[in-house]
Amino acid sequence: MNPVVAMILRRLGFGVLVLWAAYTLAFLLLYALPGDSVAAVLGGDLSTATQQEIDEIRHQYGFDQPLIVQYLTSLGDAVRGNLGTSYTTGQPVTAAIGQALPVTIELAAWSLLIAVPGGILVALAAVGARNPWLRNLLSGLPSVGVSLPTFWVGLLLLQFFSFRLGLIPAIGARGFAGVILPALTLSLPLGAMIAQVLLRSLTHEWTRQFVTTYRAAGLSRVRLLLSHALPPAGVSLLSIAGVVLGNVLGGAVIVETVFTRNGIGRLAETSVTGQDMPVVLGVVMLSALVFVVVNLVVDLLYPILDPRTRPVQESRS
Amino acid sequence: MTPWTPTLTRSRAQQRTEATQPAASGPADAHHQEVDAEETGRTHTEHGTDNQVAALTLRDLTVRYAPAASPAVEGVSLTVPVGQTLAVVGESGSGKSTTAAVAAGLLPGSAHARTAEQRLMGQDMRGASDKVWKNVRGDLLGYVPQDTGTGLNPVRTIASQLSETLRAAGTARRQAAARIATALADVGLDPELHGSRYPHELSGGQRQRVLIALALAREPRLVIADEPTSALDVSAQKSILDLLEDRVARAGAGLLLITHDLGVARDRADSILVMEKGRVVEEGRAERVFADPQHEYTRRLMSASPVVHAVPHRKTGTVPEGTTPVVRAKGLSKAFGTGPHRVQAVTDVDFELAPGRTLGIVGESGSGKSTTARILLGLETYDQGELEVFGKPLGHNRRQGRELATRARFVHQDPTGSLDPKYTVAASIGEPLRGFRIGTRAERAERVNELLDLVALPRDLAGRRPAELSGGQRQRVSIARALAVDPELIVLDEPVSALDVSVQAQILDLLADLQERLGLSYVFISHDLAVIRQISDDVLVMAEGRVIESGPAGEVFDTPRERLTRTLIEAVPGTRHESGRANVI
Repeated sequence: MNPVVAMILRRLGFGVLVLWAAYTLAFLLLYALPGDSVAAVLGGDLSTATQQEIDEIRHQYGFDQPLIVQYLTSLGDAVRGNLGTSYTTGQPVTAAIGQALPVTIELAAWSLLIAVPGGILVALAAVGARNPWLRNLLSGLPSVGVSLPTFWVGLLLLQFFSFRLGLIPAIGARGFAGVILPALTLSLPLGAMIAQVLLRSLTHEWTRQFVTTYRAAGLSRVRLLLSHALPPAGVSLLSIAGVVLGNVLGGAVIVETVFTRNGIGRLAETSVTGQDMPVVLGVVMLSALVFVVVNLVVDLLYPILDPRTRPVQESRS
Repeated sequence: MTPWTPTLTRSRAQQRTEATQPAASGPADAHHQEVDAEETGRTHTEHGTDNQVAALTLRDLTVRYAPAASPAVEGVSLTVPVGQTLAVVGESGSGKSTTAAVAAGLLPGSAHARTAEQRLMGQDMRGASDKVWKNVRGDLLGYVPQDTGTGLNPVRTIASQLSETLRAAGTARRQAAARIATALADVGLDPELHGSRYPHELSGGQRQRVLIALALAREPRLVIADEPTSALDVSAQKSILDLLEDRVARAGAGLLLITHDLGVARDRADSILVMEKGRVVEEGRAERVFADPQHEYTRRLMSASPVVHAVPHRKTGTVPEGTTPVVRAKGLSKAFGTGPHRVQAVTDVDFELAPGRTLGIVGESGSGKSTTARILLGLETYDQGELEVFGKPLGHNRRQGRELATRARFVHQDPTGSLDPKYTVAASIGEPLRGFRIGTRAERAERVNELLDLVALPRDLAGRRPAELSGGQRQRVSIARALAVDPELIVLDEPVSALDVSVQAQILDLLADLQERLGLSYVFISHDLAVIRQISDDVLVMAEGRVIESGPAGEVFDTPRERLTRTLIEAVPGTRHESGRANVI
């Protein structure tokens, strides 16, 4: 079989395994959490319900079954694409995720659109700057960006742009005006992380011998940076793609809460506080799926960006 | 210094070019046949006696890497006439590479250089801006770095990275491609085949050829080559130096050759400049320096530099009958990989090693010498043949390795890589003792001190870490670590190849001394024939996984039977000018 196809199939197999493991672990953890699922269904209050109502709910949601049966039933449903219904709203979980997903995708897309070019530019400028003072300043920026708490930056932006300048409404804005402040907030730690990683590998590549080789062959500083140091250094960005995405999802929880956007992050936050097990499980599965897909894509991109990682097709001498 | 005497000898490069290409009479040849060769190291451009502009002139160069630091280079003056080769020779830390960096305009911004004069083809380069430098690169100045494996961009094809330099200088895409094809063909590479490859798909020698093609693509007038062959084995080294010499001669350029290898300097240079601790200690025409070295340091370098035809310093006795050999191998074979990827690494290798003797295994990279060594330590399995170590058959059982590890130890080429940077010297040396649970804590500490004495390292080094040691000291630590469990056999894989010649000589002396005192047997692997000759009783010459010649060291080197052995011996630098064996360098 073609080695690339074999690799993809193998990775897909692993992906399924990862999804199953994530589901099982999340299921067990959520089951072990203190708190009563019946209470969650009833909106957190058991005192007004009769014993009969409680029993009915237990039966309806299958809480009276042994754990293994509950697990297998819900796993079987999940495989068929049915993630159950929300305890609190009664809405199917897939529908709830379907509603929230576009909101988060919009946020993620804008954030990455700002963070990726921004991070790369800062890293390039920090290595390429001739002035040592400027170089030090730019090299310090990413660490600052990574250290700033997201919720604080979000509040600061809201305070400045919405309340003081009145440029953007604090809530309820649609389209670009609605997404720009949350996107900026989320892009700061992302861009800083990208800049940090790229800066480190660019600095490493910059000291490598081939940079001297081509400097001695008469290439300009800008060209050395863009066409010789950046391509090998860029490979390192690929390896953190999964981490960046994790930060997008994690950051979305905070940013969507601060800016009251009804995305996946907000959904995760409300379902966790409301002990809405099926929704939490659904969000976990979505995140796991995203990770599996991103890592598969990254693995497929490696050989394209870095010839040294290409599988050997025939023996070359 | 010898007085300045204008002589009308032609340069070595010219003589060679004429000898090899009697019909060649391009414009460049016609031009530089008139060149007068003079005693270099003198600034004669101002004397008015010479209207030929020198390719490079440096006068009174001093470089400091920090304002308060002692100078890395002090008071160095040199001249490279067009069409001639000046070799700058010295050990690491002598300032030779710093001098080359100044001449090539590649000194890092943090360093401070001061010169009374710096001219490139007559153009004043003192304090030149990046822009001025950029304009002379390629046309006037070519630079060949040492290929340590990272001299070329790893993620771009050869043709793409080479043609970019021409395109950046304003050549049209198609024209650039054509010129790169010519440049690659000129260095003996196939433009189609090698041009489309990535650096990791080429051998070290091929990569060095690419670097030469790059430096000479625009026929510069001065070529600076910084250790261009130090990472290569002797036969690759010879062909690269021949190529460099030929290409430089055809371009009619001057060559500034930086090398630690006296043999290379002797074979290739018209003039030589010997540097020690940032200063020039000796300079003059190559023949004169080698025939009559004036400075103590030059003489020391020469005597430390092992040479193939030097008398071996060890007496090769005969092995008494009936001794059980330490290692006996018969028909040893090993292949890696399966199916079409199968590579036969070792084929049908026979040898014996008697106690207290040294078996030298010599060969080029990829000849199977390291695999053979790994097999006899049980680090690698073998497919066929018989192998007895210490009189017991070493089968395919990996578990035997642990018992074997107390009697046979390994010393690697690169002590920087084989010592844990976080371990102190004492921790590194004591590690095998801890691993095999030998002795109490106090006994182990005492043993470490003994071992430090044994390898002639001061005891107060015990608390240092590898980064704080010199290369020679690090290799002594590796040897001490190998000796910790009192082994009988030590396999040394290129143990001195990364070291300066004078340090190399000290380590070889130490090994010989240890062998005598402790009755050790050695298997000594090297690509350096001179080193092998110096240390070995018996020699195996390997090529492509097979033993092509074996026997007592003196016999193999003095009367080689195989053509390949002779080629290897002849490729050793410093042998080109040898008329008789009595020659000491």
